[in-house]
Formats: sequence, C-alpha cells, structure tokens
Amino acid sequence: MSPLEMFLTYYQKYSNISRRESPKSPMFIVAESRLLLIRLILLSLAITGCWAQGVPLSSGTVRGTVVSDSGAAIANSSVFLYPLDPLSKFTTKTAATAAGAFSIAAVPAGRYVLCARPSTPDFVDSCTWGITRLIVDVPAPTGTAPISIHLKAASILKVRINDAGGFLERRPTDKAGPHVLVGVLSLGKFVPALVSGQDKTGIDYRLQVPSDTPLPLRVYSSNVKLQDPAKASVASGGYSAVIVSSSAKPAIAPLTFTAVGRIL
Amino acid sequence: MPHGARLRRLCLLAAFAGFAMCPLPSGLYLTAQAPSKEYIRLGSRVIAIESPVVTGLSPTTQHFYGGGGNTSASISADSTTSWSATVNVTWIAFNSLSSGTGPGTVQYGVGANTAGAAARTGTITISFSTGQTATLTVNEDALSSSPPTLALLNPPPNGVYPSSTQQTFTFQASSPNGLAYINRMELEINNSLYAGGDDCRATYYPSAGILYLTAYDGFAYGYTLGSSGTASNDHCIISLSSSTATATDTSATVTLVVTLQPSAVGTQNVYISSTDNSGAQSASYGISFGTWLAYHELTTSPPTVSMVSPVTTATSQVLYFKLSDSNGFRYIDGNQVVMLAYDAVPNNAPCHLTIDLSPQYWGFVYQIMNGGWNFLGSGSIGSGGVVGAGGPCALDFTNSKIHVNPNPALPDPDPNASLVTDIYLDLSVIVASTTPPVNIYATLIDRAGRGSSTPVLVTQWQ
Repeated sequence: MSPLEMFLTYYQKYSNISRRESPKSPMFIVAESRLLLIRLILLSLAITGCWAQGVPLSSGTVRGTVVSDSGAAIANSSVFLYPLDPLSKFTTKTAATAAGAFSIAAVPAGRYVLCARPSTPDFVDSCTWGITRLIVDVPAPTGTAPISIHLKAASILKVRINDAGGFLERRPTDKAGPHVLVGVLSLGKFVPALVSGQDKTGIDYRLQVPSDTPLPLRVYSSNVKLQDPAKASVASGGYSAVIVSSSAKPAIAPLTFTAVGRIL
Repeated sequence: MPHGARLRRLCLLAAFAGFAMCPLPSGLYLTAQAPSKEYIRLGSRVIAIESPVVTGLSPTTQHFYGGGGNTSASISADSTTSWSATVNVTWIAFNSLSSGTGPGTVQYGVGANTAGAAARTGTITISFSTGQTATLTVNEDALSSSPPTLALLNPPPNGVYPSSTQQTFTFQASSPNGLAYINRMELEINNSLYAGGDDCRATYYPSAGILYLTAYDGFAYGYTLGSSGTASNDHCIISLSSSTATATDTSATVTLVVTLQPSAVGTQNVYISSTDNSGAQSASYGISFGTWLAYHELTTSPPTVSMVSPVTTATSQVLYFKLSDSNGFRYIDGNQVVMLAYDAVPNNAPCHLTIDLSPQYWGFVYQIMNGGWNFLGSGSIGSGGVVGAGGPCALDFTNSKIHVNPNPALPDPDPNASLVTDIYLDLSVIVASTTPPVNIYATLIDRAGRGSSTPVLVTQWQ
C-alpha cells in the first residue's frame, strides 16, 4: 500500500466514524478537527519514519531463469534471495521449473543477493561460487525484466596430504587436532574441502569448484608442519596459490602435500 | 608394570589363595594361553608354577553411528610377543601401523555407511606370534539422510541482543549419524550474510577440537578453545580462555565469548550453521537468529569514489582512486569493483579490469574480456608481473598499490583505533589506445546495501 493509499484509507475510516457521531456541537467539531489534524501529523510522521527505517512500503516480483554459461536452461534448481539490508528478515527459497524458470512474488522493496543451487552435480551453486554477487533491487528500476542466474560448470579439486610419519594421527597428549584446513576463497568466504578418504598413508580432500574461475587455494595447519607440492616448507601462515580449472578439462591435477612433523 | 605381567601376578596370587579362575579387567579378551613358568620360594623349597601368557584386545566390540569415525583398540601382549592386525572389510582402515611387538594400540577409522545401505558388521583380527588370536567386532548403523540440526541455546534466538559490545553465544549441532559426521559448526556475525568484506566468522571442527577465525586477509587461523589469549580480526575478538566446547556421541556444543570491534559498524545479524561430512548443511543456514547493534552508523550516506589526481592522456599511467565512507572504509562492501572499459556499456567491454576490494581479495585483480568472464590472468596488487600485456589493456601489479594512509610510504593506521574513512587504490594501467575514450566505472555500496549497484562513470581517459 502506498503512503497515499494509507492516508486515504485512514481518512475515510475516520470520516465514517465522524458521520456516525453527528450531530455535534461547534466546539466538539473544532476539537474533533484538531484531533484529526494531530492524528494526520502522527500518521505522516509514522510514514516518514517507515521510510527512514527502511520498512518496505512496496513490493515486487523477482523472476527469471537459471542457465549455464552457454545459456542452456538448468532444471530444478533451488533459487534463494538474501537481503543486503541488515534490518530485513526476508529470506526466501523457491524451486525453479524443469525449464529453469523461477518467480518469487511479494518480495518487499529492498536490495537482495539472488543465487541458485543446482540439483545436478554438473554445476556449482552461485550462492557459494563466483567472482561477484548477483544483486537485484526490488522493485527493479527498469521494471520486472527476467533475470538470468548463471551457474558455472563444476570441476573437482583434489588435494592429498601424505603422512608416512603418522603426524596426522591423534595422540593421547593432543589437546586439539591434528588438523589440516584445505579449501579455497570465493565471494569473500573460505570454502573448506571435505575429506574424501583417509588411511595410514594420508588424507584425501575433495571439493567441487567452478570451472574457468580463478580461486585462491589455501592449505594450512596450526599444528602440523607441511611441505608443498614442490617439497618446500609451508610457512606458518599456510600455503596459497591461485588455481584455475578449465571447462575443457574439468579435472584439476591433484595437488600433493606432505606432513613432515608437528608444530608444538 | 606391563599390563600382562600385572595380570600374571594377580593370577599367581589367586592360585595361592585357592581360586580356580583369575579375575580380568572388564572388556579384556583372554585368548588361548601358551604356558610359561614362574618360580616362588616357600621356605627351603622352590615351586614352579605355570602361568599363562596373556594376550588380548580391548574392547572386543565397538559401535559406530552411520557416519563412522575414528577410534583405537588396546592390545595386550608380552614385550616379546609380536602381533599383526587384519580386517575383513574395506570400509575399516587402519590409521596407524597394523603390526607391532608387545603392548600397543591400533588406530582405525570406519568410513560412513553407504547411503541407503543396511547396518553392517566388520571384524578386526589380531594375530599374535604365540599363535593366539583376538577379535574386535565393529558394528555400524545405517546412514541417515537427515542433515545436521543446529540450535542456538544462548542467547534466545530471534532476539534483539543487548547493545553491549560483548555477547556470549552457545550453539549446539547434532547429527543422527554421530559426532564424527559433524564436519563443522559455524557462527557468523555480519551486517548481512552476503555483505562483502571482513566479518566475524568462527568455524569449529568438533573432530579436531580446533576453532578457526577468518582473519583480515581472508585466511582462517586455528585456535584451541580453553587456551590463553584471544582470536581476533577486524570485526570481532573471541576470548579463548572463556570459550568452551563439549561433545556427546551425537552432538557438539560450543560457547564463544565474542566482542565486537569498532569496525563492526551498524546492525549485525547472527547466523549459525552446521555442515556434515557429505556437505549437507543444516536448515539454519542463511537465517538470522538475532540482531546485535553495538556501534551505530554515523551516516546513512553511501560510499563515494573519486580520482585523487586528474587522468592524463598518456596510454600508460597510474590511476589514483580514493574510496570513502563516513562510517569508516571497512563499511564499504568489499565485493565491489572498479572497472575500465572502452564500451559505453561497462559490462560488455573489450577491456575490463575488476578489482575486488574485499579484504579476502585485497587487490586481487581479474581481467575480463569481450563481455564474458573469460579469465586472462590475475595477481595481487603490489606483487610482481603484468597481466594483459600486448592486449587492449594491461595491469602492472608491481607499480600498483592499495593503501589506507594517504601517503603510501607510511604505515596504514589501525581502523579500530580511530575512524579511518578513506582507502586509496593506485592502479598502474597500460591501454593500447585512448580512442575511443576509456570509460572508468565503479560500483560501490556499503555493508547495509546502500549505493549504486550498477556501474557509475567516474571519469574518462582520453
């Protein structure tokens, strides 16, 4: 409801009450008029306050399609809207159709991050991965044009920590760990890899990452000394390098590190 | 005294006392016995008593939830008795040496059960050089498809938390697949979940007992709860000595004492989530459990960008940008970009550099061409090298710089010690031509989402 509509509704409601209470004395009408004026001022302040607080007074629809980089529709993804306004609690999720189409109605006015999580492992989700976020304004200044959410094809990052010396085994005297953190940075967040295998010779990590996207890889441990793939000692701050996978060759060459001791 | 020797003494005493059987510690499996002799003196006579060589394994059964896990079993043997461990299934693997001599420990891991499969049983067999054997039966439940659940125990969820700068958060993750299947638990305090830049993001790994806090450079550093000192970044400080973690077979509970830094301007939302070993996230992901306002905004004006000095006509020069926010430069959403483009449509340009100001990517540069995100190269500002040399535009990393002090030769001030509103970006750029003019665009929003999300023209290079 627009501010004008709110005003008219309130005025109409008040006027109806006034009509039911007639006849009234002139003094009562003056007092009533003053009361009406005060209420209108209060209403006006309330409306102004709403704007100042960022409370949405309008809403819109966000619609579009989830597609691959080549423009082909991606079926059955989950589409999310996350508010950038810290005071907004409107977070929503909807399912895209088999043709990749989605529509989210009655979205309060504001600025949001729009992203999608695919139902297939062939693509990575754009809520986690990307170079920039897809920011949408509601209502859109240019109208409700459909928005394309692009999902990158998936590649697999594999990292192995060789551990012939048993430095990754937990000992009774260990207060914490040992632990190695493997992952990459994306959209300002560290995304950890998951352990895909472990035995007495080492630990394997695996992470699904977007292809054709530069990603800072990090391998770090606060309690295990590591050597990088070139057999150089990993500094206390951890190993970092930019990795890029190619959609033409999805598998990134596995990176092998070696545990060579404990940090006491 | 070795465990086996102590047991033999007990047996000896029991024999003198006339008992027929020796009491054994609970869980110890007494295997077939090869006799050995011990001698005692009774007056002037020496009596030989045959005593068994005790070998064993403890425990003899072990239960795992569907998510598997790691544990160990103790082996009892004489110091001269060697042993080796074998397993009859592929989903149990030894994490330590599977053979030894004398008393020892065998560490083993049980993989998560296959999705949809029934509960299963495997056997670890210890073979001793005496010919004896001992077995450990490993039972693993079926794998539940339910993701972990997460609960905020303190303060109450969906609240507006006090405006004091310190708050204690207690949150608990549970998994029907067992504690070992809970990969990590996360507390994130940020203006909004996708506000770019520094935030208070603490991740706890229950299996390792390590807390990681993402630092200003985007990397996470590990800490032990209960130790002295603090873990801190530009958004928050976590007291390690006052923070705790406890665990049961299926859950982990973490209490973190968090203090906001002055850079944490504006309303902060509190997010908690948990991820299991399959990557499944708790339903709590993305939901704000409460808001916390310790440092009010000084202004609602969005950030601005300007050129410190005019752009000349030279095709190779340093472009001096100044980015400002009256709430402090940390309040500029870091996931924004400055771009150079020949095209009037900034996102469809033959020459396109983006510089992400997020601390995690401080100075990380992408070159993006032909309207698509075709990555040509990247680097960190201040590091060596030129990206895009010979092309329509190139960025010289060596002669580029990001600095907070207006004088790049001087140290940057601490943004938590005093309000620092400006940040400077000096980009050394080479273009093939300035005909047509190169449009210089920027998009800047603050951490509350204010400002233009579409690129605005800052100036033209011609």
